Amino acid sequence: QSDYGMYLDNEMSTKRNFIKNNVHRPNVTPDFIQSIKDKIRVV
Amino acid sequence: MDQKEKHEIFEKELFPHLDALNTFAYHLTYDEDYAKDLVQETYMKAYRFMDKYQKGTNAKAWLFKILKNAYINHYRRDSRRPTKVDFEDVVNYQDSDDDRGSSYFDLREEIFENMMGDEVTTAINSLPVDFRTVILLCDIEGFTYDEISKIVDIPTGTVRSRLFRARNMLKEKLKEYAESLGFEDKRGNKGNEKSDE
Repeated sequence: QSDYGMYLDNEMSTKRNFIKNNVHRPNVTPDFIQSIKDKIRVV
Repeated sequence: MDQKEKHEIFEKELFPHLDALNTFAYHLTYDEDYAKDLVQETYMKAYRFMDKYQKGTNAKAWLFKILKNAYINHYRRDSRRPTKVDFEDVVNYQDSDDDRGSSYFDLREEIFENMMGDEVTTAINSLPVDFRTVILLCDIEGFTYDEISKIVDIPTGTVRSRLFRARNMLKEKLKEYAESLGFEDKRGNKGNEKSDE
């Protein structure tokens, strides 16, 4: 078991996919984008 | 830094991370409206403190740190969210730089075929916030251990051990969902990390 117990996290010098592909990513609407830009303009 | 330069940096280096920030905020808050408030606040703060940002450096990590701090300061203990549980004490007790004492949780690949995105989101959102955060930063956003360490303010070794535990917790959650959907693990030695050898 100890032998059984970094590579996929790219933490090594010179297989997650399911989670990455299925996580919910809320839609960013053009209105939301514009609202942020409008607020920035008045800062 | 004049206004024109600030706007240029904002458009070219900060705004492209809007989708990623929104996804992160959503999984911290479970709520699309709260998430938008959080993202908006993040960009307002980033713009206000643009002088502290060095052009061409890691804009994404900088924004994520601002968002994480905003979440902690204004949302986590917000009176509008009285049912939130503070997991910090639990996490501090469980965290260590050594994950060798933990066994790897085995999840059969067939389970993936029985799953939909909703179950994945529910499973991620059911994790304690500190474990959820490292999964989102590493597995969804691709930050390095060092970047996560700086965003979350924990040692790199703790990032590694917290990720290890978070992934095991997530696999257990997904396994429960798979079983509730009728998928049966027929190996007879569930969760046994030696089963695959």
